[in-house]
Amino acid sequence: MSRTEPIAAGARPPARAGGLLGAVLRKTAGVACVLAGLVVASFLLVRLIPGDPARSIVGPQATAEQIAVVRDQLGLNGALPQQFGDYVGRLAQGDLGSSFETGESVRTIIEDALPYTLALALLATVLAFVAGIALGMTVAVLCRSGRPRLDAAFQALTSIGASFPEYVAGTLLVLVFAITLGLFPPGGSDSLDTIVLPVIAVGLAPTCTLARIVRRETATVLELDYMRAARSKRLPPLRLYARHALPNLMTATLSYAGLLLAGLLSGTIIAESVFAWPGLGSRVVDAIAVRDYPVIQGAVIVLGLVAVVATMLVDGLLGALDPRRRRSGT
Amino acid sequence: MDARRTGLPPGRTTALGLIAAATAVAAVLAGCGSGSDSTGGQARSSVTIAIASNPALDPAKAANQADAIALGGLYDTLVRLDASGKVVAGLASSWKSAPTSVALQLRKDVTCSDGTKLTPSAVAASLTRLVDPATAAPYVGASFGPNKVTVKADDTAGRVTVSTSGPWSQLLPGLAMPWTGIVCPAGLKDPNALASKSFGTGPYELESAAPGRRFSLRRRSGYTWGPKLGGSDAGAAPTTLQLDVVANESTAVNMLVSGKLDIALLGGPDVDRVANDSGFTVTQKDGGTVWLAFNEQGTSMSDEALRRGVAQAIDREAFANAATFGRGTVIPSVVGPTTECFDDAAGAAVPTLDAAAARAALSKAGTVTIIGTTQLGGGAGQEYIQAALRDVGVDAKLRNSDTATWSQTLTSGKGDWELSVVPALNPAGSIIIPISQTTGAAPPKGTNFGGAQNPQAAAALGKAITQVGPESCAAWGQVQHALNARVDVLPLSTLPLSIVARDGVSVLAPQGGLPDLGTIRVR
Repeated sequence: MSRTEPIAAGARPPARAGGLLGAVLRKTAGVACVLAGLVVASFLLVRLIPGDPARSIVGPQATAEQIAVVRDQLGLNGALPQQFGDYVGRLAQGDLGSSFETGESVRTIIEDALPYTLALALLATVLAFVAGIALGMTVAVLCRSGRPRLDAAFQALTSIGASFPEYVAGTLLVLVFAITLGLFPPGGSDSLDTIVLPVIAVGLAPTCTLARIVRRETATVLELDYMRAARSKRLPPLRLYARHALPNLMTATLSYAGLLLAGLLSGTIIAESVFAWPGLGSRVVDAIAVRDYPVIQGAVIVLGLVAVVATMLVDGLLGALDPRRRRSGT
Repeated sequence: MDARRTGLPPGRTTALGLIAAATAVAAVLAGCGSGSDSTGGQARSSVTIAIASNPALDPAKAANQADAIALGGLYDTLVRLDASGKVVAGLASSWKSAPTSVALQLRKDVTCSDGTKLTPSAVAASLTRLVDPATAAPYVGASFGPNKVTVKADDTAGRVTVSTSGPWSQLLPGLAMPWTGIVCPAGLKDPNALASKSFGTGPYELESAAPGRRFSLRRRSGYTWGPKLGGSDAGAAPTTLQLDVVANESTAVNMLVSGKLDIALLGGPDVDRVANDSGFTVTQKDGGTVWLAFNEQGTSMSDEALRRGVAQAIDREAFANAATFGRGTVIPSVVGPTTECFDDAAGAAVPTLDAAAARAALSKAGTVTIIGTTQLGGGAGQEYIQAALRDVGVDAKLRNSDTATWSQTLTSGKGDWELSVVPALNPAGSIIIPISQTTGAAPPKGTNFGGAQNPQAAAALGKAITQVGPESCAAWGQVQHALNARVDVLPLSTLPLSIVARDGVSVLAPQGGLPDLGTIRVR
């Protein structure tokens, strides 16, 4: 963010003609390229993993004849280009195939599991966003006139929190809030409260990271001329910080939050395991263990697309919030 | 700093308020939970059990513990094995066994979950589907061997006769295995539906299936033909069973201690957390055996002296401690101690620990590659073997991998490994499973992982499968002894399983060390 050109409250950018269609076309082409890359990469990469899906599914006791029957049933006996052609052909019709292991439709698996992953990732992102901004701004404001101990404590605690792996955070949360205090269930998904601990476990590190970013950005913004001017007008604190300081933090914050959401879509795997949360991540791990190609491929494509859409939404939001981006058409 | 300058109200009251609000929200949310329905000590109509993975719902596809547990509640078999490995009545009330056939008299009161009466013809159709090569049932050989199988029904006499093209002494116990669960005609008409519905005669029927999350089973009314498996039958059978998919054992124990689970099957060290808790009953079972396979197909391990040297270098007690977190016990045979025809005396033929002899025997062993799966104790047992071999001067390399990769290497028939630690789960408690992995054709054609061709074992096996009764068991003992004597295998450890049940809930585990859903009782 430029330090010499802050976003003035209520600023209106000049109208920009002709750029919107181009931007949409560029984005669409980008998504198509990403999708094509995901299809090719997911198809080839899963086949690079050692291990025969047929053997994995029927176990070591199966004979060569039984393996051959299963491979035939799974469509694995054809040449790789033929398999790829069949796969792309089905994909073009919206058919993601069926699980090698259970016979379930991959579409059904994703429809069942994706909402759990999205809920976890979105809530963790919201937690990071809200708590990170609140914490970072509060500390920056409080420390503006000193309070080095508070700043040191903030730096130390957020540094520790940001480096906490999900499984450590999850285990500690379960120990304290589920086992010792009995406030929340330690796992499962059969009630509303089961999501609380997984969200905190997943959101803790990003919250701390975002708080550090916001604290630094806020400290910078608070020293800019327009903020001095705003303060000199004796504006109410809420208006001062929410209306004048916050918009200038949003670019860096939203950029990080966008990356965070995309990362959390696949980064919830550990938390799903620790909390027996039935998201797509745990299904993908199971699928990798038995080389269930269709499930892995379907999940990679869908998660990839969700990440791309999330990134695009964040880009759009940034454009809407930042007049400089609107002017530049990015 | 005043409030106007900071833009914040006096901080402490706000912080306290937030904490209070958060605590209140937490308490309200906690109150929304369902943990209260499984409070210890109260009789309840629902019991929740952890399973490690999504179970196969088609008996023919049964291959692992989760499959065997779930299928045991949905599909009855013709006979069952009790805790001592003895065959007891199931859907068949009596039988007449011969080396190449068994004639079974069916009970007359059995109905399928759709209410239709189970007939001998229906049983025959189910078993015929099972043995059809197109079904590709992975463990069908453990029940019927390499034979062609014919099944005939006599509806008038209420009898089913299963015949094999050659003698097969394990034919009768083979009909107790989970993959032989009888599928009723409605399921045979629509085999695709077997993946999501149940069509059995078992004590429960599938109410709903949410893969990755939960499988709900509902008790059938009028189920009276359950097997007599011994043990206490006190209490009432729960009306519903929830099979929750919980892959992580630490999570399963967390859910146990917080009341979200009633029964869990644990193989790792997390059982220690509830072992001394009076609120739980922990039952130790053997889920299979662990042994060391020597690749005798074109590697240095085709030399018996080298195999003996390897065996002399390994402290099996230390291996059991490393691989099973100190819970496993050293075994004298690849056959588990609770399996019928297990021969304790076979242990006399296992080479004893002798580092000096091992060093001498292995002085020209060259590089020895050990493979194994990290699913067994994180691979610690394999690491111990590598260290033990290095201690006696062997250039030992280790390739620990996930089960799929290890399994493919083991069964590929390629000679790129010398030693493999084989953790052989035996969810059916069948002697055929460990023996078929140590005798017969080598991979890729067969499942004799090391490819050892042991004449004494082969001769004894010929007797074992052609005879019935005590003579058969004596021959099985000779097979186990011969494998040890020629060091074609090195028996290492049991694969311990712990069944943890909440106080007020009981379950038996007569077969393969796995909880039998039909025996669950609540008090």
